[in-house]
Formats: sequence, structure tokens, C-alpha cells
Amino acid sequence: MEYVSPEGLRLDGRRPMEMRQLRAELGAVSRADGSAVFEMGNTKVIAAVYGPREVQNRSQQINDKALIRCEYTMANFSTGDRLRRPKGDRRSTEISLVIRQTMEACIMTHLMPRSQIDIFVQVLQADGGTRSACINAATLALADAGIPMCDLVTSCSAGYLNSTPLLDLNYVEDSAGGPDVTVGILPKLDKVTLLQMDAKLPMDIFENVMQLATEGCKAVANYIREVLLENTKQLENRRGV
Amino acid sequence: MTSEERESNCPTIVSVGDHRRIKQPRRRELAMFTDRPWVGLRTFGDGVYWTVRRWCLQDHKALMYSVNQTVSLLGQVIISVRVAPRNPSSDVILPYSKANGSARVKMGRTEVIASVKAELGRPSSSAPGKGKVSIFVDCSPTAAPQFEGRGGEELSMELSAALRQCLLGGKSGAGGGINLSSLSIVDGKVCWDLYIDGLVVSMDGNVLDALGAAIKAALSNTGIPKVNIASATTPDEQPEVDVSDEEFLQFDTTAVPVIVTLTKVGRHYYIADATSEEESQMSSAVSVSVNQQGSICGLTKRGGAGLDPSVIVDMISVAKHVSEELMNKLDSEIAAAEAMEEDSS
Repeated sequence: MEYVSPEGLRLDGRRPMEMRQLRAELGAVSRADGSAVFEMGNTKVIAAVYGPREVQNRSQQINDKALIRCEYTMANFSTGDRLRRPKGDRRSTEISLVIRQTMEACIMTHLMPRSQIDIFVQVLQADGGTRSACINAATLALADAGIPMCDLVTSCSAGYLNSTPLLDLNYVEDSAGGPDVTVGILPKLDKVTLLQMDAKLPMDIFENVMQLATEGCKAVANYIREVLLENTKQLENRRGV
Repeated sequence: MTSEERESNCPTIVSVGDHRRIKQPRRRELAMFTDRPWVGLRTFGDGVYWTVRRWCLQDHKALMYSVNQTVSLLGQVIISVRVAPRNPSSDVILPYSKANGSARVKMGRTEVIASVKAELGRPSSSAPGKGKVSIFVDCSPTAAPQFEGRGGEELSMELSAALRQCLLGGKSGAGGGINLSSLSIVDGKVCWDLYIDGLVVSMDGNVLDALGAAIKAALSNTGIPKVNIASATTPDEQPEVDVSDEEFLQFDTTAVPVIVTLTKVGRHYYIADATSEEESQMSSAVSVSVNQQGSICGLTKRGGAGLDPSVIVDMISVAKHVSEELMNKLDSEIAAAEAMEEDSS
């Protein structure tokens, strides 16, 4: 199947190095301390952060750091086939763990000892790149909650089909059987916090694809910074500053 | 909006602390305070006192943020009572491409999403001429941290059961809000299975009403694809069914009811559309589902305190009043959202 046409257009009309349209909104869940909705094309994810608050399970309390907990859930109607998903299936557990480790790297946990920060991510629509969308949404929600972080974490995926590196795969391209590289970076510090890949790639092509995904992450970071700046301006207006 | 503009947009409010013993108005009159939802009445002892509730518009999407000014009387903190339901928000329909119909309803700070998916299936042997509908509600952990893992299961089961009872009919399928016979394709062999999924995204009380409204909106947005049936060679064989991608039949939702929950707070009064802080003070709640003709389609009483039967009958009549208003608001919001969708597509 042709994933990249001879003119260089993908199935949804994008160029190989073009990302899907990004949309973000802060403060979607009013009861949460911080929340955000993040859309990458047709993938739509909502993240809510509760914390820092008292640790619910005393045995898990850490005396010098905050405890970060994360849960990833998909809605029944998020994918094309409606599957009655049992909560806590393997894929959800794995992605919860991945998001938790990624966010733990950037939250300044030593500033909030003996407390707990809960990050809940709910996928409303899944069209490839849910992992990346979740991490971006979690970053925005943490910023909305005012939790101190050393840098934003942004994430993007890239693949390699029809001998072309492609940025930001959607569901059809993801299920094509080609490699899928997901990268999460701290943009200002220029460090990689998440790197996952499935299928196989020759080393030199892997470097190209990873570089492409990193560029995508930086573009997401710019967008997220704009959204946060806009939000701060609105807060200033409301407070009459 | 500057803070001054916001102040002038808010209507004038009765002063705080003005405790005058007022003669108890009749309960029916309370339910008709629809033009001033921000003036609260609360009860304490045998009298009625005024409290203040102010609404501030945070942004143009009309997220209601209420600042409660409660007055403490004799050491008891009393919560202000709001008798008119909050407006179902303008963002009613969200085009989730994978579903046949979907809706997102925001009532104050409560937000729920409902989606309807239709799949081909076999009818049950006891009802060969009818399709099947199943309703599942999921409480997302984003709504409340206690819904993490399996914590939200209990509430999900309760909400699913209440919705099934209100929207679907009895065991034979009679009297339901959804006409099951319209979902049948070939008697005894092929029928439509409707899967209605609800997701509670943000919780601030009165989730059942919001879910009922969302399901009604999603069903009105649902398009069942047209089906061409190839004739079967033998009566035993499964007939070939060709599902059209182009043509859709709009689902008929005139018979689908809305649910109104009245919570009893204090000794005398009922609140429609309680927020979670009001629900925390409730002694019992009655959820009534009323359809367009004004007939009761389902009734659930929750909460431990006992209710006098005459009180329940009164609550039902109050619920009927409130449901008319809710249904009109919902229909106008659905029409507005559908018009917006057509404009943008």
C-alpha cells in the first residue's frame, strides 16, 4: 500500500515532515487542580492533575520527595471498534508507567516531600500518537496546576514508510507495520527523557528518524509555550493587572 | 471583561444577612424561579431566609463559577438553594468521527460525554423482531481522584442501572424511550445493536441528569446507516447485508425522556440540579424521568432518609415542571449545535 504518493503527499494530504494540527485548552476540568485538553489531529486527550496533596496510602509515602502517580485510560468510544476495555489492561498499565517516569524526570519532587501528585489521562479519541498526546497534555495540566517543573516535556512520534521518514504518524500509518519511534524531550535543556521504538531500523536511518521526531517535539514545545503565555495574559486581565 | 463589567452583568442581589422571617411560600412557586437562578432560598428550622449566590462569567463559553456566600446561623452552616436547573451548555455536540452519534453536555461544572455506536448483531431469541440497546457509563479518574483504578466502578454501575431503567422499557421491551422494533433489519436474523457509552469527565453533582441529557442529544445526532439486504437462498442462512456508507436514517428521539433529580435538603425544600456541595447535605434524592408527553418513564429514590409518600407525589409534580423547562432548553441547544455543525461542515 502506498503511504507516500509519488508527489510526496501522505494519506491525509500532509507532507512527510508535516505535523498534524495542534490544539490545546487549559482548565477543562474545573474541579482538578490543573487540567488540559490536547489534540493532535484527530487524537484528543484530556489530562487532569490533582495535587500536591496528602499521600493516601501511608506506606507509599516518600520522606524527601513527592510521590507521582499516573493513570492512563481510554474511553470505550475512542477507537473505531468499540471494545469493552477492562480497566488495567496491559497496554494501559505500560503507558501509565511510561508517562509517570517521563513526568517524574521533570517535576521538582524534592520541593514537595511527603506529598502526592496524581496525573490522570483520559483518551477521548485515538488516531495514532496517543502516547505523545498524553505526555503533552500532562505537561500542560501540570503547568496549569502550578506544579514546579524544571522544564516542559514534549513528545512526538515519527516513522519510516516507503523509504521516507514520516513525522507524527496517524493510526493508519502506525498500523502499517513500519517502525514507530516515540521521543520525549526537555526542549530547553535539550535532553531526551523518553525513547521508544518498535519494529526494526538500520542505524543511520534510525538517527534520521529520531532527529525528525526531536524537531517535532521542539515544534510542539513552541506551541505549548504560546498557549501558556496566552493563558497567563488572560489571567492577568481577569485579575485586573 | 473587566471586573466592573462583570459586576454590572450580574443581576442585583438581595443583601446578605437580611434574615427576615418570611411566610413559607408554596413549593410550586419555588420551582418557578426560572428567571432568577442566582437568588437562593434556604430553609432553616421553620423559616425561610435569603442567601446570596453570585455568578461570574469566566469566559464567553459561560462556565459558571459561583461564589457562595453562606450565612452561618446559630452555628449551623447553611447552603444556598438553587431551584432552577443550570443551563446545559452550548457545546452540546462534538463530532467524534468514529461514533454514529455523540454529544458533550456541560451543566455548570459537570461535564459528560455520550456516544452511540451501531453494530450489526443477532437479535435475542425471545424478541426476534427487536434490536438491542446496551448502556454503559464510565467514570473517568479525571473527574475525581477516587475513581482511579476500580474506584469508579460502583458509581458507574449505579448510573448505568438508573439509565437503563429510565430509558429502556420493561423486560419485554415495552414502554421504552427507544423504539426497539425500528432497530430490526431481518426478523430473527439481523438487527442493530446500539451501544450507548457515557463518560463522566468532570463531576460537580447531578451527573445522572447530565447523562440523560447527553444521551438524548447523542441519540438525536445519531445516524443509522441504510442497509440493503440480499435475499437469502435458504431460510436458515444468514442473509447478506450491505451497509451503506452514504445514506443515514436519523434516529427518532421524540419519545426519549429526560431525567430530573430532586434532592431533599433540610426539612422542607427540594433542589433541582444540585451541585456536589449541595448533594453532600442531602438526606434523600428522587430521580424522575419524564418524556415529552409528561408521562413518567422511570423513578428512583436514593438516600437513606425515609420520605412521606405525599412528599414523593409532590416531588414528582415539581419534577414534571422542571423537566418541561429542561427539555425545551435541551432541544434548543441541540438545534443550535446541529446548525453550527452544518455551517462548519
